[in-house]
Amino acid sequence: MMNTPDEQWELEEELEIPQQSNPADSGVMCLLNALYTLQGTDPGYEPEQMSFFRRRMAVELVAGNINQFDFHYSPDQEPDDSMGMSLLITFKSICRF
Amino acid sequence: MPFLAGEPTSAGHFTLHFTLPPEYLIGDLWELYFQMPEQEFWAVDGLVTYDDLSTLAPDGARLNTTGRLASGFVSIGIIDGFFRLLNMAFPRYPYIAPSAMRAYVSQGIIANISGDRINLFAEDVSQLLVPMFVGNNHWILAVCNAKTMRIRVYDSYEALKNDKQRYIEQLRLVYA
Repeated sequence: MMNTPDEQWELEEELEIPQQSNPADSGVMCLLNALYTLQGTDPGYEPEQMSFFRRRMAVELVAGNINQFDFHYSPDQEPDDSMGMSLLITFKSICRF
Repeated sequence: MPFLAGEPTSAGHFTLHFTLPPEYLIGDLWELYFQMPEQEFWAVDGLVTYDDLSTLAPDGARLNTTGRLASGFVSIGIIDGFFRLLNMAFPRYPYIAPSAMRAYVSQGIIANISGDRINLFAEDVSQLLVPMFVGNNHWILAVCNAKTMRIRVYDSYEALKNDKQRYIEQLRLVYA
């Protein structure tokens, strides 16, 4: 299918997606765009919420299950600054350091 | 021969031609991959290290195991690990892993070598999700619709809009 060079693919850009506010968030946004594409919904996040989604992704990766969290921003679940460090300490203990 | 090449059309779109790497090259890369040193942490069925996780730190300035500061740019291990989770949650939508050594399209079969999806025929696949590493530390998402033969690009940095030709050149460099 895709390995016949004569066939032509057309490239189009999705314009209606949030744009990153710093140079480092493209990976997180790439993953969020994939998630929302698979869910069939519009990207429901803002660039300012990336710290929230970073923490959430870290938890999902350690838990090994993407279904246990709703991937929509919730201000009530925004952790404070200390939570990032406590999460990493947890990771470190899991990693047998 | 480039894996992915493109050229602009008058309509403002880009026509892409896929030329896949030969299987022996994939095999060689696969062997190389397994010669990597043992990693510290295994999540899902892939490799996610503590250093990978440190790149998810919100402030982007946590010490990783090498004593250097994590830059905040998400590592390839995070992209790969999260896409594995997506693959488990949405099993009808296959993806091509960011590293070409782990998945490839050949003889009409989409093979994810690291998983159990090796018998999925390309004709049965409507969408491929391809996270792509473009330029310096920039990730975009390409959603390939096999039926309409369109590749929809989700770029959070407007690279296409800003400098299309440079963007295509970067694609060529990545997949050359």
